[in-house]
Amino acid sequence: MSRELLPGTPGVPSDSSDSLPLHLEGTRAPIVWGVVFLVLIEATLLCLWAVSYLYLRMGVESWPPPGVARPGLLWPTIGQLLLLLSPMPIWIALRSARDPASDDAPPRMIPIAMLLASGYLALKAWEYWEKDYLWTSHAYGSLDWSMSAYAVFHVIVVLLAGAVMWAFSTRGELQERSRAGLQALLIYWVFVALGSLLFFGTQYLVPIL
Amino acid sequence: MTTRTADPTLHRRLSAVWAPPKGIWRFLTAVNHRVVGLRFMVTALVFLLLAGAEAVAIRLQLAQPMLGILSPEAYNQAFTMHGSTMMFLFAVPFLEGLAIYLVPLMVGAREMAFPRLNAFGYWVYLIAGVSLYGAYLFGYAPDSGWYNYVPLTGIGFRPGVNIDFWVTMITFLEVSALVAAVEIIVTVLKHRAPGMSLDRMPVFVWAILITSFMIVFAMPALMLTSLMLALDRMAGFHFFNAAAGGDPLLWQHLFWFFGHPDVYIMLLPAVGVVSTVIPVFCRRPLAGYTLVVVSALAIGILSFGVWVHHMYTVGFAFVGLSFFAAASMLITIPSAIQIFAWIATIWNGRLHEIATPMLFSLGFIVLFVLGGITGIMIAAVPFNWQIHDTYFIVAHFHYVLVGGSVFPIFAAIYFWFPKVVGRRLDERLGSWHFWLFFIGFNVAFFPMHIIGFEGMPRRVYTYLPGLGWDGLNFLSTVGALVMAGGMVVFVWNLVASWRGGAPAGPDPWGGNTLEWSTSSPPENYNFLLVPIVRGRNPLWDDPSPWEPSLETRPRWLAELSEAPDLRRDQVVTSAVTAEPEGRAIMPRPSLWPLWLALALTVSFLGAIATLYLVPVGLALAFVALVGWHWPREEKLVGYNEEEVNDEP
Ligand SMILES: [Cu+2]
Repeated sequence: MSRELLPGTPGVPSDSSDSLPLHLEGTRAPIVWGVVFLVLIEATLLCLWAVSYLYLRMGVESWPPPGVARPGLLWPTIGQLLLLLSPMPIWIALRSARDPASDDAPPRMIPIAMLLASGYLALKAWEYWEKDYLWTSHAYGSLDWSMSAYAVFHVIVVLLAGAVMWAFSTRGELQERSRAGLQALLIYWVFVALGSLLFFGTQYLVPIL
Repeated sequence: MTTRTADPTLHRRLSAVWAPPKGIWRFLTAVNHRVVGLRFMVTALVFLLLAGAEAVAIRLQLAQPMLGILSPEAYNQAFTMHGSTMMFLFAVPFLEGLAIYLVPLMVGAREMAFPRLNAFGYWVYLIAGVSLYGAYLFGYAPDSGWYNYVPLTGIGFRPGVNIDFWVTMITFLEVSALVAAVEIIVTVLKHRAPGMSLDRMPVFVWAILITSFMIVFAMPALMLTSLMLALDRMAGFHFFNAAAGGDPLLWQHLFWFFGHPDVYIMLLPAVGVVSTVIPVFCRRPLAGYTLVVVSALAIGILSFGVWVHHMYTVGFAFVGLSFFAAASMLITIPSAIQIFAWIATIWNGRLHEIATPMLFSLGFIVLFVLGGITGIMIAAVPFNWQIHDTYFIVAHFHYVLVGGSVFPIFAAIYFWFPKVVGRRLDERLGSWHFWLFFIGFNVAFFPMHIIGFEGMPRRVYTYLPGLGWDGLNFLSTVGALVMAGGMVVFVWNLVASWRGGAPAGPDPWGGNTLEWSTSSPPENYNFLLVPIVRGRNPLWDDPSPWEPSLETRPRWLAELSEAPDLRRDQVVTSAVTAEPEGRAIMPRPSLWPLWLALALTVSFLGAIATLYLVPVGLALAFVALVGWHWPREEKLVGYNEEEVNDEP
């Protein structure tokens, strides 16, 4: 096929021997774009939630309300660090899976990521078990409980998604077809970790400022 | 075009590969973008008729002082449902449906990026709309206005389930709008035909792309605030309860942070429609393509900075108000640029016939300018204080929304009906529809400016005689009935032309965009050969974007066109320059979208009865998502090429 085939169409290959690849990844894969926009939607929601927190905080004199203890920092910070680390194994799996010699990386790495995120969940559960106020107590309680619940819900979502992805990977499905799927999971997982960091900053630092 | 008929084998194979299922399975499992898009549009039109019936009831009640056609409670439900329907169940879903139908055809694709998500979005929309109207049937419709202000809608003032239906079903609906937005963005950015770089994209697609980005950033505000209200009402939270440290004004901020952009979410696609229709009837490319696109982008961005103009009377510091007043007035500049671009297109073109799509486009320009002028008036703070919550506001936003969104939607229906159905709408009935609707609209809504000046507040179910409001209210009701007459003509036209209209042929208007290169209605696969785009008006610049034919195509292109493995192949191109990057295999019909929508219905609708149903629905949704993502072949089975090969 001659070059005149597509005048003014830069980059369109006209070489007739080329065949377009079927398994796309990165910015070539539509699923990755889809997850990026899902993340944008949820990130907007999170930012508006944090802004709502500040808005209600500015409307009152004392925050937390009189008689309510300030949140402790030690264990929540440890939990937050665990969650921030949790996407790392998936990133490592994606990198080493480029090497055909180590296609068992995803089945080995996903459980580690899940374990780290579960640590966050356990610490959260323990922390809220000890709370002496509920969401029904006051607006501060409503914000605190709902934001933590939202973060926890998302960690559960990535744990479930990780479990499904792990099941696929043990069947050997991931190598060829779903590298983009694993990338999508990683993007979402990182978002969940960073989103909960935003809430962490709001819930634990604003009251002590 | 000749290549289509030249290759009957290819036609049959692609037709089979891309065919939606038959019978009841078609209803439950179809994912094709044209099936889903058409469903969105037809459903939205049914909701338009319902909202119109509510409007007629409202106008009859207000025709004279002290009438008792609607009780105060029935009146509250009628105007709340009218507003909520027009905003949430008609305008946005119709435009989404139009985009879902047209965008792949306009960018030369065979399918949207995520077809099952598309189908899921429709089911969510249908279920939410039917639930709201189901509640209405039993007298449980929301009744506190379409923007549902707290504290009126708090559990203390409005116990009972009416408001619960609003908060749960509107949140649910936003899920539908959001998935459609993601779907459209990814389709536009990753599935354009090779060669259709961003600067060659049709203006309609640009408008839809910008709208979808606005949905991504605006709708979360509504989801958050209605989630908060649902928690306040159903689980004892205190986000809006001032007595416990909450703040009712938080609702207004979050609602209008969504609400103002939502106006432009309804308006920008309309701008895209008019920018498509006018050049076709004037036989010249749109004047100022780049300016129109940049203006649409500017409107999209600016509209996130003006929400406080709905809250001037709340009592903010004047400095803040001045900022929002200035920002609101600023929006008129890009809007005016677009209007001048349309006028310039008409001026320099050869306007050869004023068919119905053109009539509605011209009507749009007139009404939108009038609505824009009152918009500048009410952006001024002192004037706004004077007419806040009066009929002047009702007049203003009907000029903007009916003029700015409903008229272009009618233009779109008359313009693309031949493509969708294969038959033309009747032109004589079309002009009856236009003139009845246009004259009726002005008779109904122009007097409301004056009634507003005279002090009549909105949302009152009746008024006393002798306030000077009687004559104009009666006139307004007459206008509403004339509009209703126009709608009867319209529905008659739709039904009659669907069954027996004149055959349209592939390109009845001499269009410039790729959808007119397909048959009417398009075949299952949209394009027999993947088109290659070399300019901004592919059908005008380039008589045959399909060339070279199959035999002479490079292998990568032939493969895409041929579906060699009996799978739904689609080209993936780069976001900016539309260089081919690869192939994607699109999913075949699936029941999971419906399952997922029903599972979430258990959560959302169930929450009204008991919160224990929320986790049940989520568990069912998890099952759906696993099934959805289960790796499968996506291959057409049982198709025997040899069997059909011999047919002529
Ligand atoms: Cu506004």
